[in-house]
Amino acid sequence: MSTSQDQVGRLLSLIPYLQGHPGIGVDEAAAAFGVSPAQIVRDLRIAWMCGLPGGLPDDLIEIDMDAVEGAGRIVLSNADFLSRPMRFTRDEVMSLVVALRVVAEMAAGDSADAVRSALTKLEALADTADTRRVAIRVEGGAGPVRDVLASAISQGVRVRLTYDGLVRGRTTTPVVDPVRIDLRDGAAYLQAFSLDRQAWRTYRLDRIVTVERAGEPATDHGAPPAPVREWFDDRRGDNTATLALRPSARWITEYYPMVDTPGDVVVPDGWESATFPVADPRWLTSLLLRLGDDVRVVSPGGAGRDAVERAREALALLAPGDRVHADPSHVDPSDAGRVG
Amino acid sequence: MAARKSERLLNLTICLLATRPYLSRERIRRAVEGYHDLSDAAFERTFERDKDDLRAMGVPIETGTNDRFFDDEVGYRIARGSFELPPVSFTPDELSALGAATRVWHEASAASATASALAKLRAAGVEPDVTRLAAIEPSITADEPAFDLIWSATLERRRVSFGYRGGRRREIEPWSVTWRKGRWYVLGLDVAIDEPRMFKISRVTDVPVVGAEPDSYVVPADLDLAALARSLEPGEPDATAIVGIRGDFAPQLRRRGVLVDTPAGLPSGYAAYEVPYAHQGDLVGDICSAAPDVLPVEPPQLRDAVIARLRGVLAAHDDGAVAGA
Repeated sequence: MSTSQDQVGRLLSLIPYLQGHPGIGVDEAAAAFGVSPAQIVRDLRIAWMCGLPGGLPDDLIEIDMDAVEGAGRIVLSNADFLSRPMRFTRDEVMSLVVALRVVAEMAAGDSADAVRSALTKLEALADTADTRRVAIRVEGGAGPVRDVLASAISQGVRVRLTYDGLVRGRTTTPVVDPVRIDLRDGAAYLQAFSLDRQAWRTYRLDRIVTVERAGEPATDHGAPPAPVREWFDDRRGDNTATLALRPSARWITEYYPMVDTPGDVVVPDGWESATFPVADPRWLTSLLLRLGDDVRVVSPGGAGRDAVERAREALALLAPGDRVHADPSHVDPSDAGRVG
Repeated sequence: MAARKSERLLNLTICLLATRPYLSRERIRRAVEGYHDLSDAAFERTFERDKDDLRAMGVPIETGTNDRFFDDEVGYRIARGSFELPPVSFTPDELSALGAATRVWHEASAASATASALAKLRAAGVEPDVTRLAAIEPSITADEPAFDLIWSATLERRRVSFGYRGGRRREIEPWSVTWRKGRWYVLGLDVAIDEPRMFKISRVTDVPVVGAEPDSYVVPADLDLAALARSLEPGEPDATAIVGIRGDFAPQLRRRGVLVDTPAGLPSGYAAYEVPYAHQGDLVGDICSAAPDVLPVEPPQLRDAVIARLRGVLAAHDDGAVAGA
């Protein structure tokens, strides 16, 4: 959209807004419209030159520009012909409806009801044929889990989770002080301070099997980390792994976030290279195990060692006759401290 | 220049809102100050462009004649009823919901569309409350480069064509967009084969070409988005396997399954679960990724497939083995 379209679009809302807020500060109006105070002043200079056809002083919108520039206060009048904002465009109402649908998927209890009724009112302002045309699916976990977490957060109460860990691949029962629920890549996460770990942790809501109050108040652990928008923002450190993928393994490039691959990587014909951030080596190990022979590690060297070790342990149990297992030269002593 | 144009567009809007009868071009030219100094040709050009700009912003400019019985000149007006936002009010709890909605979009153009929708609500006296619901941080991302164009083409019902990874170039009439697991999909009529198809927007390989005509096709009235969304799911399980799981490991598999009697031959510390599945390949991946904490028991072909894939792991990464062999 051109600058003039933006500006006129804003003025068509700003003019009725200012009539409903006589004497409002320039700063406050700027905050409400998400622009700089200087931009609001430029907008007012346009409005000041506009009005009903005829061009007589009585026809023009009145603004006390001295008060704007001096006290930073806006009084706008003689604009009865623009007393209501314009209808929503399809883009506006759909963006807002979609945003509210996401809030609805994350809210709990009474606030969830309020989100749904706000949504109904907004959808009434849109063409129903349009609102069906955007669908949102959020992995928000079970309603009862969200309800307990929401009330625990607002009342400052400690909880015990039964949690199916993803990277660690086992079920644990951490005691945590919950503070916030974030959404990343379509899934809701609890941000909480883990008493066992003495550190901030995130827990995917749809992996929280049960949550119960621990019977004591939460304590103050300072500010939690800022919400992360992308999954990989959360990956601490800057460890990466560059992999070569057969076409049959290429789906992982759409499934996991990636970073740029170094320019000098060469892979066999028909293979593709991809570089992934790796916060926890266990994640890479389970990925390599899943992909079997469809992947090679380009770098760092030795990143496949744990996967080899685990595959060998499993084969020893499944196919004890395997020659690969019998060869002791494959056992790497540096793997002794591997975390299971 | 930009300031003069803004002034002219705003004056034109006010002029067309203030009139009840349709105004001819000549009347508009005399009424709107910004047109006074233009030559005939420049006025025609400028007026056409201004009209297009305002319509693109959603200003409903009507075209018509004042007298149906005479061949009157075509004129223009904006009907107040179709211009103004209808009355709307929200409870305090609903205002908190709107406040939380202001934070959701992290994609530039949808974020600015949300902001201008909220500006209109504020202008209608609705003040979203951003202080409550602070304990949830909802967010939608759309980092697919083709998202913007496909989103607006879908809402405006314009045809769109694009290169698609691993296949021919597609031309579609987009019916709907879907967001799941953090990824965007577009469903539409694939024009070449005249059948609906779902496309993952991250697989679009170039800048989509969007058709010039809005509202250029009809979306089927019986469009069942829920059913189409289900078509993205792995499918209903139609087979079961027995797997051994050690202790509290592999919770995802464990919770999908039911505990059954432990068969002979499973090492100690493992319990047996009957697990439903749709595609053997997916289950093999799930089992291998958790090896050796999960072991296949039956059917035999599942066991064989897991063994083959684990041998593949050795072939791929064991320094003692020949890569690619």
